[in-house]
Amino acid sequence: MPRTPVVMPKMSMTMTEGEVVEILVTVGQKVSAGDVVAVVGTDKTDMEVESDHEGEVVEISSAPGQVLEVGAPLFVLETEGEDLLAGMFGDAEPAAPAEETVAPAAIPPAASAAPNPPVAHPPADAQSVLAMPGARKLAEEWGVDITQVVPASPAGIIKQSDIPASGSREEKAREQIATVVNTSMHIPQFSITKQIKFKGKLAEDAAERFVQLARAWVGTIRSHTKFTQQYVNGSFAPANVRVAALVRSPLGYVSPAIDAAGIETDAWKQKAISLISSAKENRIAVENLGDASTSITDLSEFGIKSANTLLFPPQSSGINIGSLKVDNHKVALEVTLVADHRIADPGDAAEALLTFEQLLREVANGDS
Amino acid sequence: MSERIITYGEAVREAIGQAMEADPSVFMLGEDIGVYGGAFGVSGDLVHRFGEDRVRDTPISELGIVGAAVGAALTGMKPIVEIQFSDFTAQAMDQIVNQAAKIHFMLGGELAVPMVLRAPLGSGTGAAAQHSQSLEAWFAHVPGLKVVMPSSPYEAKGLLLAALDDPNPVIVLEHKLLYKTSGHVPEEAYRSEIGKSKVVREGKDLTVVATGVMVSRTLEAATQLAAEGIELTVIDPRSLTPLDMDPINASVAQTGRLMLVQEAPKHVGYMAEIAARVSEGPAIYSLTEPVKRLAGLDVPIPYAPQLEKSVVPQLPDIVAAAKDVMRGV
Repeated sequence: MPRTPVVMPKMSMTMTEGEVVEILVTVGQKVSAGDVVAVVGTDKTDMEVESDHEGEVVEISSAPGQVLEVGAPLFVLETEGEDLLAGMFGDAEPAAPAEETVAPAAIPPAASAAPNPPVAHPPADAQSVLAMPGARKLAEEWGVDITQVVPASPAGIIKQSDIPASGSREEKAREQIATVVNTSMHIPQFSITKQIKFKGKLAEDAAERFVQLARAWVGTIRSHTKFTQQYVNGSFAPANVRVAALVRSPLGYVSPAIDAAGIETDAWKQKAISLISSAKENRIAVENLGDASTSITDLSEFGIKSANTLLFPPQSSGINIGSLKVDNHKVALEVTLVADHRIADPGDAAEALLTFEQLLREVANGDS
Repeated sequence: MSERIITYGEAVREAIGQAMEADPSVFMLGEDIGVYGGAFGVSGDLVHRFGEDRVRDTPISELGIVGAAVGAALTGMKPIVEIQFSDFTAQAMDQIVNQAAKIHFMLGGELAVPMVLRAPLGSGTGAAAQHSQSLEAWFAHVPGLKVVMPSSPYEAKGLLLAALDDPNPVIVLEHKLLYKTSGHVPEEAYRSEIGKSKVVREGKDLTVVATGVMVSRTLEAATQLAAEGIELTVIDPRSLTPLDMDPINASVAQTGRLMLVQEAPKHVGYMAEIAARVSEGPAIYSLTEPVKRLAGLDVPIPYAPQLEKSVVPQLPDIVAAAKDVMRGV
């Protein structure tokens, strides 16, 4: 049954408190709505207080002579009906008994012994980071910790483009290839194929074979200097010769490039071989990324007859090896030279391939 | 065949004339639409062509006008109400909201209210606070009403004819500044589909949804921005209720950026609905920038011409806001 206080009434617009003159009920007494239950004094006069409710007096919470604020309980009724409005208008709760009969359980000391987490500078959690929903989703998909992402925009909001790729590296790699391949359109290029046969031996290991081919090809273009030129922004300029090798990596085919300086040395050979083996593991040093002036694409291990690959800036030439046969000290292969037509003509290419044939034979029979 | 160019006001009049010729149940009623020709000259010579029974001048009582139209619609007529200024629909809201929008549903679908209510909205004519509001959100919020906002002479005719075909009450909100603008309008009676947003320009960088006069203003901004290499897609929802989100979502998926332009005050404006719907669907994951709302200020439209212009988005505001979105600020 609900407990309903009978309170110090507001008897005039100016009244804020009143004096309890007389309480006319006792605990256990039943009262009806409209019964006079108390007398209170205001600054003007003494007034009778009527009960608004029917019920039994369960507690007297004031005494004659006390000055109470308007709204403070005079006594408490236990009523039958439910007060549907209870608590809705900030009704005063019945006053707590003056003395506690039961001591409250002591607060266990363990509760305060636990260290409080620092609140002044909470660690950035994923929810408090400013991020576009799409960026958040992407970070989740790619397993990126969004609290570690640095936003690039002035607004400081993390966007999709701020999330570093990790999970979908193949896609990213493919996108990069697509972008690079598009640039090939700006080079007018031609190709020319020659069959080469000679007595000698080419390495079976692809990396070592690359060294042999590179030595012959770099020797060739060093004597046919047109092929070391580049046509950039409307003028011709000699290029620093850098040779790219086609390598199959877990992300697809990559073409790390290596500077041709010192190509005759053993050190260069070792460098080239280690470049190719780490590229197979998809590890390419920054210095070996891009900027090839020429390339060697050796697809012979796939039984390819000939290939005609594209040139990408700043590349001005490239050779493709196919139809390779090596047995009993006899070598046969097809080489396709792709060249930037702006730096050389097909006739120049034919002459260059004659030189290449001769140099490759020397390399194949030489000390390397 | 050369494209015929007429004004927005002429396009509305042509649509009404063609509807009246095709269907004897179509008639028009409103204040000063007879020999005076309408407050904005839209009805023009219609009273001479169709007579005073079909182009009815009414007393100055918006509640009475719409009440009469609702009654006529219930008995099988197709009334076209003209309210001189959309601000005055406030006088007629009980008939519009509690009667026209509800009757079909409260009578178990037995009756329909095929009423079309045309009203000019918007600022820019020096008509001050009580004659310049953009109240489209009021109507769009009431189930049972359809709401269209023609943004060009072509749409003015096409949407009005579509509204007349519709068995529901349709509110047609015409922008005052557009009445004198011209554009290509075919002579035959064609319809624009209500409930189909229209992509009026395609660009890869930023999706802009605009309504009313803001559509042409945004198209101008798009031309300026294109010169600076920023390509806008501009989408005109045409009908606010029902709203077709498909082209908007599809475009946001491509551009990753969304700007919403309305003349009405920003607070609880119609564009908030579009922003909310984008955020409810998969398109939200395509957004690379927060949604930008460009809207009128939350103030009554001032009378002073400079102030009147400054409280609603103008061409330079749209250009600047689009650049802000592109810069990510």
